[in-house]
Amino acid sequence: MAIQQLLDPVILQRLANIELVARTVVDGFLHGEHRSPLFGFSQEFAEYRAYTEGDDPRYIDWNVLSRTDRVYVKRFLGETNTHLMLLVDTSASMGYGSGGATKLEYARFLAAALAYLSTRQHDAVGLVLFDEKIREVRPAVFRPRHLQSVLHALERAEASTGTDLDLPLQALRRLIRRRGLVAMISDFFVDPGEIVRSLRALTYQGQDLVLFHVLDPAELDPDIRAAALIEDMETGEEMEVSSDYARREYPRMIRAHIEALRDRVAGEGADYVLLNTAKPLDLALREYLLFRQRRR
Amino acid sequence: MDLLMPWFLAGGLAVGLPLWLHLMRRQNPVRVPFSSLMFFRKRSETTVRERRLRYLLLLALRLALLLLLALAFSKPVWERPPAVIAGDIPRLHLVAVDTSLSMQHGDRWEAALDEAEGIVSSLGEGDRAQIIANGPSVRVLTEATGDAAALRRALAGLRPTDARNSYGDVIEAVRTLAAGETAPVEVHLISDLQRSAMPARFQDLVLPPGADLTVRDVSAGRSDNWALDGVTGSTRIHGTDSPRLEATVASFSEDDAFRTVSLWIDGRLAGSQRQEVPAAGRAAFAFEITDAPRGFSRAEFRLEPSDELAADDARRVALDNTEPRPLLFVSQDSRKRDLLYFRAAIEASSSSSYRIESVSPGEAGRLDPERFALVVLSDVPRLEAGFESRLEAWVEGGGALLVALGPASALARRVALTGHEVEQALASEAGGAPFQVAGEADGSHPVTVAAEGLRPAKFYLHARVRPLEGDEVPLRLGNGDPLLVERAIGRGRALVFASALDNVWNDLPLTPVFVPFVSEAARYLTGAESARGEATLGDVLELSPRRAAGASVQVVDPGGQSVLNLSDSVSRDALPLESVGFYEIRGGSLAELLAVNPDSRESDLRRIDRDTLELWRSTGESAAPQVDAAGMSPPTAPPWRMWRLVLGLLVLASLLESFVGNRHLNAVRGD
Repeated sequence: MAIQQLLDPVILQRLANIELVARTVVDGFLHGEHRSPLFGFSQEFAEYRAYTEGDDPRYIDWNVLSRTDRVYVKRFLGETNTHLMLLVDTSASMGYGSGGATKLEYARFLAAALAYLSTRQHDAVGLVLFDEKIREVRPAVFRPRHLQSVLHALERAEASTGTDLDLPLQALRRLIRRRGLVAMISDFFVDPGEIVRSLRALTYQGQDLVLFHVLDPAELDPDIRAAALIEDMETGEEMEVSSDYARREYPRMIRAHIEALRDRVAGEGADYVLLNTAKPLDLALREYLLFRQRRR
Repeated sequence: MDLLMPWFLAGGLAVGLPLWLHLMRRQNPVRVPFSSLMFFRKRSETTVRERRLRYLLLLALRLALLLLLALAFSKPVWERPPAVIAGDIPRLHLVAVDTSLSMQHGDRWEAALDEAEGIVSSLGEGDRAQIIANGPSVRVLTEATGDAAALRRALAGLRPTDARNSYGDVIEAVRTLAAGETAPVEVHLISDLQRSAMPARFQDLVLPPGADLTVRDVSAGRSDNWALDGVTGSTRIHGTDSPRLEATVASFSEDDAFRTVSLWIDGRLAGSQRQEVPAAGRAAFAFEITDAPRGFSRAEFRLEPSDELAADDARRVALDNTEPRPLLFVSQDSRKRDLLYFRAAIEASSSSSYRIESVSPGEAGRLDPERFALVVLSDVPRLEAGFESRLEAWVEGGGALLVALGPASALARRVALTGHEVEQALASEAGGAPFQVAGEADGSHPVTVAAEGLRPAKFYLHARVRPLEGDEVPLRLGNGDPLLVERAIGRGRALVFASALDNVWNDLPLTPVFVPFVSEAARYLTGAESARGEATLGDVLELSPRRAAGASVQVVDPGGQSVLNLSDSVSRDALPLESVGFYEIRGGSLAELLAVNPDSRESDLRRIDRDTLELWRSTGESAAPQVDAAGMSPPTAPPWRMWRLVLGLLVLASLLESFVGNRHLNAVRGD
């Protein structure tokens, strides 16, 4: 089996265990990328840092402690020792899928892969599942078995109701006290200005933010050949749509939205990654590592 | 609007197909769940609505196409609206007033006159009316006129009669009067709607096209009635030991009642009886006739007390206590077997009043036929020349001749006086049965009817008679040979019996039908009336048999008036009997009395049932134009056939459907 196939969401759908999904994705990705000069991982020592609450006690340098009576933890090159908070949108619109994996499944795979990857890099991983409310919270800690807790929460995630970015981001601001990475995975069917306003609280807090914009291929280019009754999966609202409009106007509108979102997010100093659920996950992982490297 | 073939409208149900398809399309559009409507605009909805409108237009055109197609097949016609207000249209009112006997019951006649007066009073501008009286027969009393005074004069002269009513005759007269009439015709039937006046065939009641029937029933209230229905027994009482007559009283009531019947002879009470008459039943009242005077007497049975219909409470018969009329029987049979059987038959018949004088052909030469009511020639091939010429002259003057054949006639191969050629024929000569029986019979001839076609008799021999021109053959044998031939000779007539009166050629004299055969033949040839000396009102009295050669006959009606003028008394052959009572017929030296009674069917006052009446009315509605609320009908005009317009609309709808459909298809391809 080719490595790329292991990252294909359709293949990943067949794997029952999300941990296995995450391991498959990351291992496959790293196996394909290990020769890259950009993404070399090592256990080379980088610096000491004063111990703070929440640090894994395994990394306390006992020699320094014995000599100086100060508690330091070792930091290694290639490791951030940072916090990664995954924000996953579980609104109803994320349940959409035109053929392969739904956006939520894709988001789950991506979040699981990021969590697994981060754990391998000794980053603390946290998880927030939200729609119009916060549905599930796993604080960003680096403990044994924490990854399983995060993956378990992801596995149970289901598309539910509408989307409200502001509420979970406000709550998140209260939960995250340390600077770190925040990866938000959503379809962002919200006005870009509103998104930016909601994100602004996090960026002001010093969080490094990356937005994974997950869209189905049919959302980019709808295949509506005749007049159809479009039903909004979140609100249940219906609208009669002509094929003419779906083919000509809609793609232009969604691309304008994407461009606007990309520009506005960039303006706030955040990263933006557009993901197509029909495409393998390697793009997302590569973008994440680039993002992590830039922010380290 | 009317439809000539409305069942084709069922084809309109085909509209369900496009309607169903369209509704299915409307109710089940392609539903596409989508993550968000954020990038869809209301403009798109409007576009779909506009397309839906195009669909609706297409659907409407297709529905119209199918409906118009069904309508075109059902051939719609449009009854053209009247050009003027219906109430202003001149109409012809045919006012048929029932003047039959039953209208004398209670106050029916007064009610009928009120109804007729009401019709005359309500005649509109330009309306015309015509008065018709039905009974006896149908009489048209006025021209079609708008002159109310003339109509009232005609009504004032009307009286109820003793005649029988017939709705068939009324409608036949209406059809005659309405023929060629351009104005709408309204028939006003003023009657008590007796069921017994209905014709045998309902077809005779069908109204003429364009006529409307308005029935004005005047038979309000109870219609109980008791009537003297008939008299049985022989009225020929001369020589009878104990003459007896029996009067029958019929009840048309739901109640039993005691009734008294009295017998009056020549104005003198001869007897009276009282007994119970069952409800809707009959009772017989028997009277012995003890001291009837010589000659003819007027016997009248009266029902007492009279009910509301007094006209049928009396029944009249003429009692005949006259000397028997002479009958000449000429025969050359030495053994007189034919005379034996003939005499026995004449004497056995209660209706016969003949005294037979039997002679041989040779003896007949000295006799004058004028003295006799009937001459019978039994197997006489030749007559003495002088007697034959006198006899021929007598028959031509109205005399009656009965000729029976036999071996001598067959041998002579001719029939005396009538001149028929004959030949003897054996029944078995055809190789079939040893005898023949009577075959084809004229069901309207009184002799064959009374003698039941002589069916029981066996004919071993007969004379094959060759009918002459103008002869009638009321009865034939089974092999087709004539058995009874009637020949008119001048004003008289002769009956030729093709077999013998004895029991050698046949066994007819031994059968029960021989007596009625002989007596009815005598009665028919002499023109005598029925045995009871009575006739029914409306019957026809035949005069020629009662008139001696060159002589006249006079008839005096029940009112004592001579009916015939001088010319009619000599030449008229028949006279209708139009009055109830006793007619006196005087011809030659004879005077005869005939009682005339009303038709007993007039006593039955039961009404026509409602269903029949509605059916009768509907025969007019089917042909007549629609009647508005005022009861007036507009003039008929040929209906306008709408199918041409419908066809034009159909073509137009087809073109539009093609155009709109084509545009719709283009729009779909553009997607």
